[in-house]
Amino acid sequence: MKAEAKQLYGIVAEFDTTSAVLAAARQVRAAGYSKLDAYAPFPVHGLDEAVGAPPRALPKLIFCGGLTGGLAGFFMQYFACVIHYPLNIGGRPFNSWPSFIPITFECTILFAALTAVLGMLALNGLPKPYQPLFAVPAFKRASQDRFFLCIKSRDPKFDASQSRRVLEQTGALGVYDVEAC
Amino acid sequence: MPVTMDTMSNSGNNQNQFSGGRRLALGLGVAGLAICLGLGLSQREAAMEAYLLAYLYWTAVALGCFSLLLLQYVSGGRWGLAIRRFLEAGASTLPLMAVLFIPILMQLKALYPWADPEVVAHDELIQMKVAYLNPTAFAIRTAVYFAVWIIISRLVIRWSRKLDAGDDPAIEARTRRLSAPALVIYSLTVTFAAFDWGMSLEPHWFSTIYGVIYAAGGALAALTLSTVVLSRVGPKGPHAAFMKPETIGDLGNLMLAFTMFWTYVSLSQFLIIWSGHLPEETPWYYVRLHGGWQWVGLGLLGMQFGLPFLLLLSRDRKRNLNRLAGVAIFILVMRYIDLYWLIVPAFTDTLRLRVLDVVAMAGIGGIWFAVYLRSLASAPLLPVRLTRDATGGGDHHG
Amino acid sequence: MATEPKVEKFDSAVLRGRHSYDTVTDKIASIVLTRNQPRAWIFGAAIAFSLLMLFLYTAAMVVAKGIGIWGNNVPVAWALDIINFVWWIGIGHAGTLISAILLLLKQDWRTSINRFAEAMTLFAVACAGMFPLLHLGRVWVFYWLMPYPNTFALWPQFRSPLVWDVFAVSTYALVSLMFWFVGLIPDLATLRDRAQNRAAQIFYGVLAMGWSGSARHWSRYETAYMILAALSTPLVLSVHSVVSFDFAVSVLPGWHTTVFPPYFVAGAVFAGFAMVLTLAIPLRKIYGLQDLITMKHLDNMAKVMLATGLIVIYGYAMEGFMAWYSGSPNERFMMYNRLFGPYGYTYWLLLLCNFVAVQFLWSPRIRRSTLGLFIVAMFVNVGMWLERFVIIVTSLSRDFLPSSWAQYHPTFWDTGLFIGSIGLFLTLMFVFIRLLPMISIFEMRDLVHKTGGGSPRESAENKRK
Repeated sequence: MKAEAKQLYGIVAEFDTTSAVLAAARQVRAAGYSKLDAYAPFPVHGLDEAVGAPPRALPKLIFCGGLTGGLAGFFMQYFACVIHYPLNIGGRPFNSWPSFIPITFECTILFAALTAVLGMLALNGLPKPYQPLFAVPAFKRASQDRFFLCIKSRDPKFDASQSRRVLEQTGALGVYDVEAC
Repeated sequence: MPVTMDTMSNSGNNQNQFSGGRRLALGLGVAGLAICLGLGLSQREAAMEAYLLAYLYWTAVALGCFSLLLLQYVSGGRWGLAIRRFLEAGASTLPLMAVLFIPILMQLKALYPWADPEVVAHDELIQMKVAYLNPTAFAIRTAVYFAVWIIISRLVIRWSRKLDAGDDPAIEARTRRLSAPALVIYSLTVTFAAFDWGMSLEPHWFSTIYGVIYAAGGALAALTLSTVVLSRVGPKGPHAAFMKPETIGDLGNLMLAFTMFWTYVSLSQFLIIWSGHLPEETPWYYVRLHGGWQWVGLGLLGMQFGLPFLLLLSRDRKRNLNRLAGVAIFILVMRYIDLYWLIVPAFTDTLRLRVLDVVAMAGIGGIWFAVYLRSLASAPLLPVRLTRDATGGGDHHG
Repeated sequence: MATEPKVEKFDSAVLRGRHSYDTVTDKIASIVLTRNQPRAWIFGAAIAFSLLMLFLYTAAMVVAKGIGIWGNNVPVAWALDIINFVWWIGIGHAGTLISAILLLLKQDWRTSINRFAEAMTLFAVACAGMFPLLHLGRVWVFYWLMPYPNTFALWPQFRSPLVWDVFAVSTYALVSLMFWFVGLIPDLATLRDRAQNRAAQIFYGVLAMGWSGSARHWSRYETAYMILAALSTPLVLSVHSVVSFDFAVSVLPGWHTTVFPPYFVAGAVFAGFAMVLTLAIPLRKIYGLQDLITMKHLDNMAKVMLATGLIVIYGYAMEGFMAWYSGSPNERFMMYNRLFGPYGYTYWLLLLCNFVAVQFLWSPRIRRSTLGLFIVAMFVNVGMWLERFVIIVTSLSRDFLPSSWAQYHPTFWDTGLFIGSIGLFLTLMFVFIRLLPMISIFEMRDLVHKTGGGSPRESAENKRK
């Protein structure tokens, strides 16, 4: 039993409609599993909630990124023009804050956008070019026209044969073992 | 949500609706204008300055309603249907504003330097513009603006009422066809109206974006006013079945967009003039950034942009009508302060606050609201024919 | 060909015909995952590549000999280089508008055109960037534009709009690239899983970074994508506003006017939509994408073009009126010179292209005819280039000091570089069409789902409802 569980990454079931995979996810959750994930070829509304608490950290991170960018952008100019190298240009004050607005704005956007993209990738654990699920031949269609639901072996309730039965009861088109790599 | 006959009958033509509000507004308006007139006999200039400021505020709201009314026909969308009747009511005050312009025409010399031959005789720059800036041309142009606005708004409103009465549904398409060219005509007329009424108070100064700033401020005021009215009548009336959180969210997003647009045009005008530092242009900002006015300007940056911007970022606030209406009231007040900062420094170098300004606001505002509410009571609060389908089952696809 | 009707039938659908997840996937992915290309691709790519050679040649000569070989002089120290810069960067704006603003407005019709419109943005920004870089003369010290710790103890001049431009354009390029790439990730995974040969599997596999389509990943992905859209919207407005500041914060009549920022932004979107139409009309024909890029799309784009065109005309009207109203002799002369001076013909041509030609878009018949639209779009492409010529060259050639007035005549190196940059743009476009899906596949699946389709079983279920 133990040896087998170690070799497995999880068990995955295949569906052909969004409603089927949503129903299955709820059913498996109701059966007491917590470490599961669903896979879809496009964002399916409500699927993230069906497999567990949806992640919510990103917007706050992006707000902080933008704030940092804006402050850094403004004070970089302030430091250059007022503290480090004050220079009279066209009789304008050293602290020409109206002229500093555009760059402050651009830096805000740049930092926020970088935080959005890098934050999204980091929280998703990407890049990670190879994943155990890719060894399942049917899983190729997860990026095309099929939906999948996977119970992971990390789940405290995981039991190869019983979990397989739970997935089969959801009306899946097929259920496959996923070997750990 | 299916619409029962109950909610529909609620929206029926009810002349008694808002009668209390109308009486109160009318009383306030007449009293305010009477005080203005009384004080005007002794302090003519002060009374006219207060009158013009209040006039420009309420005209901006009326024109904003008019432009949004046309815009929602062009763009479509549920938010437009939800506030269409409020916008119609706002646009139907335009004939009133035309009448209220007469005192300004009678007292041009008290307000506009170019209307005073003494001033023009000693000012070469104004002499260059005399072909445009003279009382006759000014009066004719104003008459043309109002004629155009009143004709278009009458047509659009009449067609919308006809549709309710069960007339030809093709009328909606006809209104839509009129709206796009009407918006083109509107944008040109409102621009020159803003040049005439506001910009020419300081006849040396000029800015090509001035008309856009005035029109955008008016649209923002109209949108916020409609949101406030919606939050008053919405929960009880037919809107209860029609409104969805997304519809309120759309209003909130539009409010955010107009707030940002106002900031964008105002700040870029400032940046361009500040950087150019030309003797024809800079004095306009110099006055507005000295003698106490600078605090008003700074306050505008924080309160007309900063605070509403931060408040309107929240998705939850944008989906809750009462909380959104709170922001809307705040913006409506800030619209007045913005106009104050735009107009009053033309008359005085130092910041001043006059009771008369408030009295004039109440005077014109009271009468404005009386007309607004009368128009609101004259028709169902939602366009019946169109929303019946939209409320019933418009959401099933395929 | 003869049997095909001249005018496609107009219906308001953004997705025509019966489609399911696998048919849209197959339709779009197979354009990329094939050894065969339509003859039009080979033919077009060959022309584009030849023009690219012209670009490389002229650019190399400019770097080797210096910008003295251009026709620039004093007072016309800025000419085709900045005209081309503004023209290209403006074209890019439509891509961001389609991908970001229409996403926020929940407009379904953006789905089938956003990918290549975004690619167009990137390539247009790349072309735009070439011109100020080459105008530096010593292009290899371009990094002096950036603030960085240096032994000269000097900083960029932060009060100058040209430095704002550096920040705005590089932020724009970077954010557009990220937006485009993030949009591509799920499609790259699709191509990875569909590719038959090993090289393609590795190529797309590395780029897809291991995207598995996990529900949690999608959740964060959608959040990030929506926020990127919300950030790109003010960004795109700021970029062309900053470009307009390059002129407006100076004191030159014809440049210094407060309507410039919104008027430049509208002009940029206007030019950009003209370019999207210029590309989309032949593309949908060559690749048979009429079901996915429908007449509804073209009609909508024509409407946006009309609206932004009218704003641009509003800008012309304000410039004209205010030049007179200002009472300033310099302003009044500028307008007179624009209309009747030695370059007067460019202004009248500009009005023909941007004012007269656009009015045809009021007619639904023109908006719904691919040929009519294509012709109007070509007029706008030319008109928006002329607009920048009028603003820049006409104003500079006759400025405050009549003794220094001079005419500007572009040399071969000016025009060669401009025509060559079109080659650079088109080459990048052809490579993109060959290597990456030009329509977002996952968003098309989403659209199929939203319009009641899906897998065979799903559409049957929906029909029963």
